[in-house]
Amino acid sequence: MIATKNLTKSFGQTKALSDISLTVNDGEITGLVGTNGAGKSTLLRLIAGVLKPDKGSVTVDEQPAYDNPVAKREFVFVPDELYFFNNATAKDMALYYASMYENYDMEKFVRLKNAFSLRSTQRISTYSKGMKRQLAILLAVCANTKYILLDETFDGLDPVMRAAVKSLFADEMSERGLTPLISSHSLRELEDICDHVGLLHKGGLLLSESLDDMKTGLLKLQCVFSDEKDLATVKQKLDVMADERQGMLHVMTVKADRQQVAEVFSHIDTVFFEILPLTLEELFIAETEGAGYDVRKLIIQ
Amino acid sequence: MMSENSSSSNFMTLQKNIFKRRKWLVILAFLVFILYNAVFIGIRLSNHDISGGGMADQVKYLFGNQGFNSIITIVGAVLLGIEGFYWLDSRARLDFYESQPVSRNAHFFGIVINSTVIYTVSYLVSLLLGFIVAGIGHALNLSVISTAFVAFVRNLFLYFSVFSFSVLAIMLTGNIVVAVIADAVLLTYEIMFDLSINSCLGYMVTMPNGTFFSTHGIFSPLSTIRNYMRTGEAIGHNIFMGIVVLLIAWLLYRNRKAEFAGNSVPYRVVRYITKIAVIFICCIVATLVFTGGSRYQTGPVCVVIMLITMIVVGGVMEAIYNSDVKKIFKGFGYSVIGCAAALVLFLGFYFDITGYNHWVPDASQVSSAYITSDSNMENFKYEYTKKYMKLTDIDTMNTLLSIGEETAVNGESEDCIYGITIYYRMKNGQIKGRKVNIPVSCKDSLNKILSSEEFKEGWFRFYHDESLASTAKHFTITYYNGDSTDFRIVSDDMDTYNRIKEAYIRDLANYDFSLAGYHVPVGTIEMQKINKNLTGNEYGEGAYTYPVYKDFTNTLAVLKDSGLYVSTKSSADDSKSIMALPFYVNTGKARY
Repeated sequence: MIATKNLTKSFGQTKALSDISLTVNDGEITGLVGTNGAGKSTLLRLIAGVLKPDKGSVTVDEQPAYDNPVAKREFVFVPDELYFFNNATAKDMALYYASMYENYDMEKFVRLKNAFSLRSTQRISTYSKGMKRQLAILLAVCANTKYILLDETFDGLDPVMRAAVKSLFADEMSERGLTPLISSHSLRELEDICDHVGLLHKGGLLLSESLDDMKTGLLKLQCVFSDEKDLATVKQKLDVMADERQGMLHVMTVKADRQQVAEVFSHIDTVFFEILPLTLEELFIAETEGAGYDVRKLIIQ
Repeated sequence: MMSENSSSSNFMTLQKNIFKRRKWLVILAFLVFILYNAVFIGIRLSNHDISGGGMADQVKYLFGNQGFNSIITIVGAVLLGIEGFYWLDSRARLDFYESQPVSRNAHFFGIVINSTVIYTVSYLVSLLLGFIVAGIGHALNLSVISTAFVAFVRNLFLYFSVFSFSVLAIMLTGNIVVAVIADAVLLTYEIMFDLSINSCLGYMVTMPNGTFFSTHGIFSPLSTIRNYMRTGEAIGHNIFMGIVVLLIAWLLYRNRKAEFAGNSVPYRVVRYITKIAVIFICCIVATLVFTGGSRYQTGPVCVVIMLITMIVVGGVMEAIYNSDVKKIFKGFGYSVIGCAAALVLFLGFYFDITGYNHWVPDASQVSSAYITSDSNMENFKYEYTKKYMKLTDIDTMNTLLSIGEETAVNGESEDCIYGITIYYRMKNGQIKGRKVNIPVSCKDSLNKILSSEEFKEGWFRFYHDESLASTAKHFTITYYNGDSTDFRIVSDDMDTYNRIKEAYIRDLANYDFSLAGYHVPVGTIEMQKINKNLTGNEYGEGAYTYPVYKDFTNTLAVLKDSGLYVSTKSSADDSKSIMALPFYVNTGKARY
């Protein structure tokens, strides 16, 4: 488990992170979402032991991360700004990673490299941005560490490659229990893969919750009432967090479980009624609206 | 046991990775050392003008401290130090290296060891190849090998010290270009400091040459590089300072924040100290350069020069610190402190606050004195004068000193100025020297001194050459005509030497300032000696010269008799025009 406790980091007069407490559970995909400058990269660099916290702690399996090779053997970090040796090829980098990480799987690297159509003898400096990103992810995955820290993972990847990378993570999770911690400035990038999401804004953690927990208590309804007066009844009996009207169609977000909703609507005459799954975006809107944040501006682009 | 195996395996893996990253440096190091120690030596040995022992001497010289290996060492140490930690200035490289399972200690000492191995192995391999080349050229003997290895050990210490300074420069900065500048400042600051203070002393204080201020290379290994290359001295200092500086660099690295990457000088205190120190030196140097080092240049001129220097240098430093030319006036207070310190020092000299320039000794406290006119007298000549000149006319010396100081304060308006250095042997054993310029109108005082036996004994080596026969391996007597266009030489002829010596001493009976200061010699005798215990091109003592005047009839007769005399060919009839110039007494050379 990766845990940060009251983590605070400043760069000169600028407070990059303030009092962040976050837990990354083993076997789950945790997403870090926030706008540029929210503190995602700083948090990942602190977890990777590159930066030293001003206050608070970062532990990886209960080992402090900063300047601790024991903790660092448990993860591999793919930063937003990638670095490869001058004139290096994919093979050179793989050999380097193999010398650094004792469980490095060279066979897997060769297999994945071929699957991703990366040429091992071609100099990395001639790769496209997306190819470099793919290579960095493959190198990291093949290190066979317990955790993988990925900063702006999907930046530069085309939709096909994004899907392939997500699928790769899913395979690694099921095969050997890989725990990815992924940051992105866009919620939509993460909505189909994350188990747990942390929302960062201006160095603070607005929320950190399991998606299942969030989904369990929130529902999205679409309905057309036969009599508009029934709306008042619904609002009286259910905790309606949002109600958008498009002509006769009401799109409501309610804080309730399916049974409660079914019970209320069983006494109401509707022309059309449907319960829909909430997107990650809608979940965040619902969760953060109460705190006075317009989450659309923060994470949806 | 497992843990030991694992840590040694980790160490080797790390070394392997660092070597791979630094392939180009390894190749460069081998190439440069081999080019010098093997190829260059081969080329020198193929020169057919050198043979036998001379070849071994050549190789010994090239392998020794005086050779180019010391220069390669300094440049190599800077390169290895800066390149080793260059990744600290980039966020991408920092993220890459610092997130890997390697401790900061392992990283730091891994690079230190790796750099030292590159230097040592490339140097030793090149020496080995050099020995083979020298062997083929019949120029290899035990002396050559031992000289090469002693120089190698000395250079290793020099390398370590310079390398440590370069690593410190990287740790104090966050940008590779600024690190190189910082390294140059760290390595040369002490030299600049000594030079600046000495320039002030030389120009503004009546202090004799050779007794100047020195920090004795207490900080930078390059401060004593000249002595080091001559004699290999300061080894202990180099290694000690190297260890201290590397320790500081290591502590800085242990606590270095990753966010320093890209920040030119992240430590504020370093910025300010450096700024004060650099402006201090620059203000002094600029003032000396632009005023010609004259003590009597007007004070306001010096102040203006210092202020301009402060603004320019301070501005450039702030532009570098902040990577922004708009911030040239930031930290102005520190510029002012540096400039004020320079001004205080400069004005201290200007107003002679120590009273050094007005000091005239109490004659009762002085046991004897000696005087020289040669401002750049070689050490062996100075030692001779110091030993044998025992002038007792202290009042006359004091008169000359007072006139010299007065002349300096009132300005050197006389056409012909005679530069002299007077040394007082105090009764408490101290020797105090003063360097002044005096007008030739002090003829009477100078006549009195120069005509005395006390002066002649301490000035002309002929009086005390007892050791010549026993210590000289080889000596020559050369006579140059008046305009040095022709000469005659005789080697190891003791009889001629004794005859010339006897005649010259007899002629010196008429020697005084009126002769030496107003007459051009018709020729010069040069005595050159090579001591027995030295070989090759190393001379135990340099040449002594003796001016021969028209009235030195005894000397001229012996020179003619021994076939050494050669007349001056040029005459007034050959001249298109004649220019009258002041000249130096004894040497007869003109002062332009």
